[in-house]
Amino acid sequence: MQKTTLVRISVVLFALLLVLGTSVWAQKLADRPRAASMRSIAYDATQETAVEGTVLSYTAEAATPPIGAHVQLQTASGTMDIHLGTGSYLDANHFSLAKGDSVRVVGASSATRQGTIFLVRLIQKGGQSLALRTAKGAPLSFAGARTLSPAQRAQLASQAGPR
Amino acid sequence: MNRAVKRLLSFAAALFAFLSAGCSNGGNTVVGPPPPPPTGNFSNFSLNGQYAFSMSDTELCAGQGSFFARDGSFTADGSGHITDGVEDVNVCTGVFTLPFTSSTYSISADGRGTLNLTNSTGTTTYSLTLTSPTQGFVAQTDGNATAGGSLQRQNPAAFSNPAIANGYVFDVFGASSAANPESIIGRFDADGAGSISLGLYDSNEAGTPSGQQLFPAGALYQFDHTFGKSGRGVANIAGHNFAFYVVDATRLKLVGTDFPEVFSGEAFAQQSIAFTAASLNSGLAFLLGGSSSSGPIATAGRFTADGVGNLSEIFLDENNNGTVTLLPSQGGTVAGTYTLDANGLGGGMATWTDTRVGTFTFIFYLISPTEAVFQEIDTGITSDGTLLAQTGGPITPASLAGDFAFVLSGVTQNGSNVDSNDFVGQLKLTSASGNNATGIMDFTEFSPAHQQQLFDIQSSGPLDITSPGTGPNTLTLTTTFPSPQTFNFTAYAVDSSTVFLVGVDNNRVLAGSIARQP
Repeated sequence: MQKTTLVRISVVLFALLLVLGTSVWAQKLADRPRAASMRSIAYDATQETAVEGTVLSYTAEAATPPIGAHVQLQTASGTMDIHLGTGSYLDANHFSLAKGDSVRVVGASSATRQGTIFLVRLIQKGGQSLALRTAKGAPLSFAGARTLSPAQRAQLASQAGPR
Repeated sequence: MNRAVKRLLSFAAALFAFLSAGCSNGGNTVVGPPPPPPTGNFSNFSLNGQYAFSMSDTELCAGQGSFFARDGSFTADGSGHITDGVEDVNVCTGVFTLPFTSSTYSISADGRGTLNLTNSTGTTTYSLTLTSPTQGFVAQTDGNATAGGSLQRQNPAAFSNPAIANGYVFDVFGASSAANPESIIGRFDADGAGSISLGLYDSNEAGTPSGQQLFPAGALYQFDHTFGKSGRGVANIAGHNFAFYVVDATRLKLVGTDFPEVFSGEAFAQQSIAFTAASLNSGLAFLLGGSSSSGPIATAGRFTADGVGNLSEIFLDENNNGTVTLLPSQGGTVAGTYTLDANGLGGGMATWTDTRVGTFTFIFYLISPTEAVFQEIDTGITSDGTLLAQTGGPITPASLAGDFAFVLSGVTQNGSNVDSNDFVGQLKLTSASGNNATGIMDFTEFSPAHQQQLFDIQSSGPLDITSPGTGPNTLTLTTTFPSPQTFNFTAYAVDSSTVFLVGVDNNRVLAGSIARQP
């Protein structure tokens, strides 16, 4: 019995030391900025807006940065330069755009040296909707395919070539 | 120093995967006009022993591009055969550990070569360029995927828990479970028996920094019983699971094994000293790669740290998905400061402000006073890489003359496609002025709608050094086949054997480095 009690006390003391140790380290953690400097072409999710308009032109080959697909969108308040990321991501998701299309985009405006650009997180045309960025504003063309369902993964795995 | 540069490249190579949609494996193969016969002292015998490798970039997944990573180990017999090995691949269909069966390689006199690795899923093919018999650069060039990275000869004497002891600094880059780009840098103590303590890290997910954090419970490392002879083990670092491959007691290659997230990176033995502001007291060059809100980003530069917290002579070239920013800006001035964490464990922060462009902020963890991992934390930017002390200056065309291996990774706007690219090759520099750089390379153009592998593509152009050579220099390389292309780089020399490169063209984002061959 005494031995059991001692073991319990030791365990409690050890746990307490662990907590205290962690606490000491927590107090020593360096003070880092959680929201650092806002640079140009950054997606600020707190500034998201929805915009509706008509496509004046669409190109998958940017004449000016950022690299990727751009739309000139006619809105009620003027013409906007819309950045959609890589055009092939639209193609892969069977989403096409042409002059005269009516679209609704959700995203955030960002200042660039060439002017203001609208970074799109979500685009809708007719009944079709496509997410282009994560909720944090990162392009889904980077790794969006990794969020496939298990069934889709299993199907792909059966078709996969050399890895 | 070469070791650190290879590491740097694996980070830079890891960063770009911004394509999509597509067709099946293979693609087109283009071979350039016959180059002059290669010269040098390399041969198949140069690749002899056990090597660890790490690569990452882009695969095709359900018609879309997707970031992936592979790390592994192989044994080369010195005569063109791979006799053993295993790799861990983290792809969009899962994480797999795949032993190699009979595989082959060949090395030319100039250190360039090919590597064919066969596992149960088929054969993957790589181009490589050795910088020495102990290390080199590698790029996947088979049309199944594109990836770039490095390989190093392993020391089997370090394939045990007791060999992995004391402090390590690490840097991994990849994608979070929410498909955001994420960088994690930090440090930990290994006890030589599989336990990890004093783990600290800074994560940056989609441009949102975590602040410094303690490792959550469960940190450990353990050698693998099945593939231990390949130097393979498993680890839990900063709350994430990894497979690791030991290069030697000072270096581990890491690949994330938690799906759907994916990470690739390395850990390095940390010098056992109490780091202070005085630890940084030299010129330092840096190279980072990663992702911004609009696409891939590559950054290179240098600064001088004075040992008491001040930064001066700050230069930076940033290519943010085609938008190029140079510091100091035209008409602007730059000033900065740095701090080391009070706990002496090597963490710290550097920040500088250009009066016209704005503020840049970075976290670092020192491996030693001359090496660190480096992470940008400005809003919307997820980017990391290497910080290295500049030594052996001044840098001149004469001091740089010689043969170099190079690796580059990034993306190019190619018509309506945005191709991922991984380049590996050799660059010859002479001390002449003018057209003093000639290169030969293999590379990939890889997007869902376009997969092409190009071999033996020759280039030439000037490397212009601005005295004293430690600031921004320019390298321009032009190819004529299969079509004329000009690549403009800013070159930051670490020393006469290592130079960081960042592309400054508006239609491509490239980062990499050159490393001297013997």
